[in-house]
Amino acid sequence: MKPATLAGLLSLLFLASCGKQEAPSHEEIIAADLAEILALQGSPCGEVVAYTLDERLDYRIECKSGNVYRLHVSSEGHVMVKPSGP
Amino acid sequence: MRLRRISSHFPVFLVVVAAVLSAALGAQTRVGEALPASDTRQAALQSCPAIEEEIVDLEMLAQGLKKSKAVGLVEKIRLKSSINDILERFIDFHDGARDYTLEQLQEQYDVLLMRIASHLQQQDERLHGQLCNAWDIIWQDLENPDRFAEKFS
Repeated sequence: MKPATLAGLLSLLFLASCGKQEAPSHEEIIAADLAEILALQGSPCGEVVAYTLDERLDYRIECKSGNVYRLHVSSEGHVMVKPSGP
Repeated sequence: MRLRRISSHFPVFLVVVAAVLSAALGAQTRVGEALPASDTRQAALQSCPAIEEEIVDLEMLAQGLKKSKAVGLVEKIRLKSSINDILERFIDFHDGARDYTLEQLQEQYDVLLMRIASHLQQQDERLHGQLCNAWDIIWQDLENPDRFAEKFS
């Protein structure tokens, strides 16, 4: 391959990587943050596959591992996690 | 006569409306699907600890995180990045973009603060108390276009 062609291809790759990335969906943002909170709380989850917002600051979360948790914020502002029924 | 017939069905109508609302609020979100409307009922944040010094905006919270010994360096950078991300989403929203609804932005804000609280609650009670007290104050500045413009223009 000619050096000029190679340089052209590399330039195209560079420009493509600099393109504006699509914004993540709302559900992806929430699922990622919920998974991180569960990890911080020492509750194994891995990937969040579904969640229910029961009321503000109160979630029921289903993990890929099969674990189900209730994650909520107490009246004192503490984040609480407890295993929940299927 | 007709009025009496309608009024006799009114309790049934109310039960149907209540059932539909209950089903909608209890609906589950599969990741990648639309989110049910959030409910404003909350028992949370009603008993935040008394604090001496208030936090009033996300910048003060970011500064508090920067100084806190409860959060590692990598996490500080990630949290600061998440704070910047949500601020940009609010700037876009108040500029007219509709990538996210206001309800979705509130949920994103709440979950981010839950993430931060998870880091602080065991190891930095002072900043955690400040976060608890500031939770709704900061939200009010973010959602209100005039207050947001005042803070970030």
